[in-house]
Amino acid sequence: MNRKKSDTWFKRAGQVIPGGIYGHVAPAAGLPRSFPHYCKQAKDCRFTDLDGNEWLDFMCGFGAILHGYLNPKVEEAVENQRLRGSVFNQPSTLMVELAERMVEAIDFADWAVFAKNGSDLTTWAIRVAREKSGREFIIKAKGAYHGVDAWCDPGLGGRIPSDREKILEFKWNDFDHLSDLVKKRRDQVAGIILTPYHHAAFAPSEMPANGFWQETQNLCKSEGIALILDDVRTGGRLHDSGSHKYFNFTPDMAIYSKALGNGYAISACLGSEGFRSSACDVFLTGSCWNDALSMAAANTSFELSQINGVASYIQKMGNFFSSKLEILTANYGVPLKMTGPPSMPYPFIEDDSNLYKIQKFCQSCAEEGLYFHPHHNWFLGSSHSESDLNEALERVEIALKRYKLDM
Amino acid sequence: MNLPLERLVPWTLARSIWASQFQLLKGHDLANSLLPRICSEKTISFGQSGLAFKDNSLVKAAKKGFAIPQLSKFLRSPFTSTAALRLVIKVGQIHQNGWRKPGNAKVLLSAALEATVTYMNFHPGCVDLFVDHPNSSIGVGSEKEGVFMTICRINSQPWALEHKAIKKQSTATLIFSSDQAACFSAVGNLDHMLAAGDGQIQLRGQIPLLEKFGYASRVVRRELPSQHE
Repeated sequence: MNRKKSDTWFKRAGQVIPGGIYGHVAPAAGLPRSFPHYCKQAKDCRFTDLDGNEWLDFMCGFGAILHGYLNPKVEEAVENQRLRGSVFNQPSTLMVELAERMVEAIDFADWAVFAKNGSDLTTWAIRVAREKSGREFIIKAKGAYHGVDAWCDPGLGGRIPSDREKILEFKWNDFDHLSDLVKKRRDQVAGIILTPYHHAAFAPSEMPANGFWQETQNLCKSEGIALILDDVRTGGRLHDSGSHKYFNFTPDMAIYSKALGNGYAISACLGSEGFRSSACDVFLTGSCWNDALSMAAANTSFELSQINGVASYIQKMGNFFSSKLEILTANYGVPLKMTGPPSMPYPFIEDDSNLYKIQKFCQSCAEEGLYFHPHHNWFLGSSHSESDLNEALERVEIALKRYKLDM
Repeated sequence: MNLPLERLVPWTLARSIWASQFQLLKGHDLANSLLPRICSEKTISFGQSGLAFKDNSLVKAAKKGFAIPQLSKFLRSPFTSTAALRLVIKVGQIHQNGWRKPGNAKVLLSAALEATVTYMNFHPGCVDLFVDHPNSSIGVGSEKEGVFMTICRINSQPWALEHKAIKKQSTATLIFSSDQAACFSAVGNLDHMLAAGDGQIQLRGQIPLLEKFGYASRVVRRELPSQHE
């Protein structure tokens, strides 16, 4: 695979950007010599890297693209707004429309606020919970990702002990552990923040155990604790009206981002009436947070999901793809298992706790132009058609032959 | 071993010197001749030789390239002490002047890895990083030779540097594209993020373990005196 331009730009980046590329797209987090460093253009579920290599994509911009790259309807809405401007002194009415649209569709919600990143609002939401309750502690699941702020980031540097003094952790799905934490800190826990299912990186996804959400919701209610749903990664891919509907529970607040703007940076926190007053008292702002382009994108993107039933469609496509992929790999003696919901499956190979096999498998697939991440859940979008998925399976078969030879 | 935090830096330096010397004389009877021992009165001795340094002299040696050993102990067995001192000087010269020479890669890496292992065992912040990795190993090597050193821990015992590959598959591997890259990395002159991106280092296996190991090595780099600053 040609990667000359990609490497040249990466070298330039290294002079002026710490690490060249950082965060979840840093080369070391993926397959540095198999994945390109830079993308040039993308359409639907395919992208072209800087060197002209074409990829069939299964990461959808790490979830940010739900309706396909360059979705014509989303782009049209953005283009129409672009002619009028993006950031003004005051918000545009698109913000009101978006809030109305989301509040109407998301059953527990009575209000909405907007920012740019998931982290902006996961951090804000725990402050709202603290403001409402006057309590300090927040509980989260160990290994869960809730953003880049010091109370929760998965990095190692730049922290001081007090950053996490008021953050308690329990093992996902271990309700007894969660309940014990609450009992030990009775009247001190402001909120419990959780993702709809456990989608830690570098580990198979874990769905909620039977009754886990109901028990957690009851615990929060009886103890006066805010139940905060971090639906940033999952929003729009499990259910068009919020992932709580998929698992049948009711949060007090929920945060959405990634797929909301189909590639335009926006996040939203929706909350129930009881939290409105506290929401007013926790300061929230950003110079570009009222950006009308992302509001236009989100309005259209959210509407597309509602009209087209996108979550159901990608669940169906994901089921088709994951089951076929498991059968195909098994035929070659590779026990690949796709975990988590089918619309955003995480792959792992049995007896591969150190991840060498999944890394090699994804590397072999990359040589066939398939962007399969070895350490992060994949994402499907509404632009993945059955024909695209069959093409991917054909490429996987070629990759498997090479994989078997190499192993 | 209970190590007071204020003695961590000189102890780490001593362990690094020994690790380099061990690599230099690997397979020889004298391979362990600089095995350090922590003594009272803030002194660290090297093997049975009589060579010993005050903690602050070791720190000074790392900064300036020279320090005077404990003369009273030195003179008790001058011949073995002199031989040991020569070895220390040789190791020092490799680190001071020979760090660009690919042939010195393993000697340099031995020092860097041993220093990191010492921090993983004694530095509170670094110890905490590895709480969730009770039975783990990191293979270190080059594209040419494969894994030639391993950092490992069994059942939450202290981490240890083995100057060889272990039979069991490592939890993660760190492979340098060349001895030159290994040399640069050993003295902290290789940007780990860029090197992973441009292929100078290959990371495989449990990447989070490697991230933590890399972070611990940068804590070491930040806290240990060096002439490469």
